[in-house]
Amino acid sequence: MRSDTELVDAIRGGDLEAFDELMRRYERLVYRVAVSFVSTPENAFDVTQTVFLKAYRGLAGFRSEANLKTWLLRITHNESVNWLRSIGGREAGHENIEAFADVLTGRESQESDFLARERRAELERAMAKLNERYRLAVVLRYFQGLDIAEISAVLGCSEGVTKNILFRSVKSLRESLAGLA
Amino acid sequence: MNDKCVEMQKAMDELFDEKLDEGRADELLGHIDGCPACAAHWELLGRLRSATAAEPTDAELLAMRRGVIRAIRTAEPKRAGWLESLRAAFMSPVMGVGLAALIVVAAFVAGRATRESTPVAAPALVSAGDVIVDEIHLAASKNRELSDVENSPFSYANVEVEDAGGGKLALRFDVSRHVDVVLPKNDPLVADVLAQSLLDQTSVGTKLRAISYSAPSVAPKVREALVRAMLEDTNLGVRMKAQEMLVATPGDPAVEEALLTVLKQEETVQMRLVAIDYLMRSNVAPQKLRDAITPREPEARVDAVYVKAMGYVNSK
Repeated sequence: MRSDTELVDAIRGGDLEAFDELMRRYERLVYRVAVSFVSTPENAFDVTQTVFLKAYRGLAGFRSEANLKTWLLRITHNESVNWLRSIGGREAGHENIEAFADVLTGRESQESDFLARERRAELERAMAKLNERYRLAVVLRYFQGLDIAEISAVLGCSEGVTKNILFRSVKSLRESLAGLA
Repeated sequence: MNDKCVEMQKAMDELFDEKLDEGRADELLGHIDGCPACAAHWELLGRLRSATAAEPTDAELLAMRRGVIRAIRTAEPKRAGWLESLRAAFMSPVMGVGLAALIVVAAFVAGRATRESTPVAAPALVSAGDVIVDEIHLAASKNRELSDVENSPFSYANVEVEDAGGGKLALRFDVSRHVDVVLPKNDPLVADVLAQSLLDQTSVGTKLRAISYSAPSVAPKVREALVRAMLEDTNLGVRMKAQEMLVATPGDPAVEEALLTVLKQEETVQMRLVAIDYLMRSNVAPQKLRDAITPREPEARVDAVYVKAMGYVNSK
């Protein structure tokens, strides 16, 4: 399997097969992060396509020593936020909570489907109240399992700041959920 | 919430990640037991970690990737080449992303599409034709060896090959649908189709036509298929035609090895003489040539093949 650096070099040489391989490597991560912002799978695929197109066009300026995964996640976040702004808040804040409750599957196997779905919708309502940066930190940390160092690279801040962001995010979520209860 | 709670809640992630030492973990869990606020924080962390986004299907992701690749090719006509000319060929209505997988699977079912001449703008999602052609082209690009071709998820039938001029070949064949496409002779899809045609055991005519367009130096998989046809095909005409094509490329070690095998196993004197001519021109090691004809020596001492071979061996 080619390394990210080898793939990037090949893509810069015009190798579209290498770009296909790169997309296969990161498409699920990009999609999952996108869908946690834009509510529905259809919107998430739009964003994912845009992310990879922008990545392809931006590879010329990508520094080889940089982390490709982190770079893609930054683009994903920017594009997700752009998408939310482009629709002028019509679906922003996850008014379409019902759809997103279906997107988040959860693993609450002991609960009834209805209850699990309600709990996911409740969580999403609370998530929607977080600012974009906090929301991204939560998605990367808890939904995608990235470590603090990777999240710090995406957010462009120190690990200490990232930990504080996560702490405040969860605290804010907890308060929102208490208010919703 | 006091400072102790803040400290405990910040440490919870590390407990989840099992990065806390035992003493610190005991302290944290003890605190959680006695502090409703921290217990709620702990419960929420667990809930967040258990919430995962639903997985997209492979078909949806395939459609997404195809859309990206096509957009790139549309924006970069120099690289688009063959695909752009094909885009016009498959202007069926835009398919739903979930259908994309079915389309690929359906590549094995009969159907036909013909080429039109007017280019069209790329639809938001992929069409049936795009998916199939992209997939077979990608598969052909990845099929480096003959064994890859044999194991390819696509097979081609009713293959027609014609010289299209300008260094290109026109290929017409069936996958799921008839494909009518003009490609450079060194395109991987051309090589794949020719290689499969050479292995086709049902039609001598198809094999002979495929051989006539097979330049063995272009693609190793075609050369390998030619070698197999020369050594194994049951039809003498096919074996001889394959050999004729192979010996057109001088000094090829793989061809030399194959021709040594011809000397060992082929009954036809004419093919064996052609093999010796090639090997002599390639300055093959005398011992190799001697080894290749040795099994026949008792019966073949006086035949033309033996005389020619030993003449070369003795001159070295």
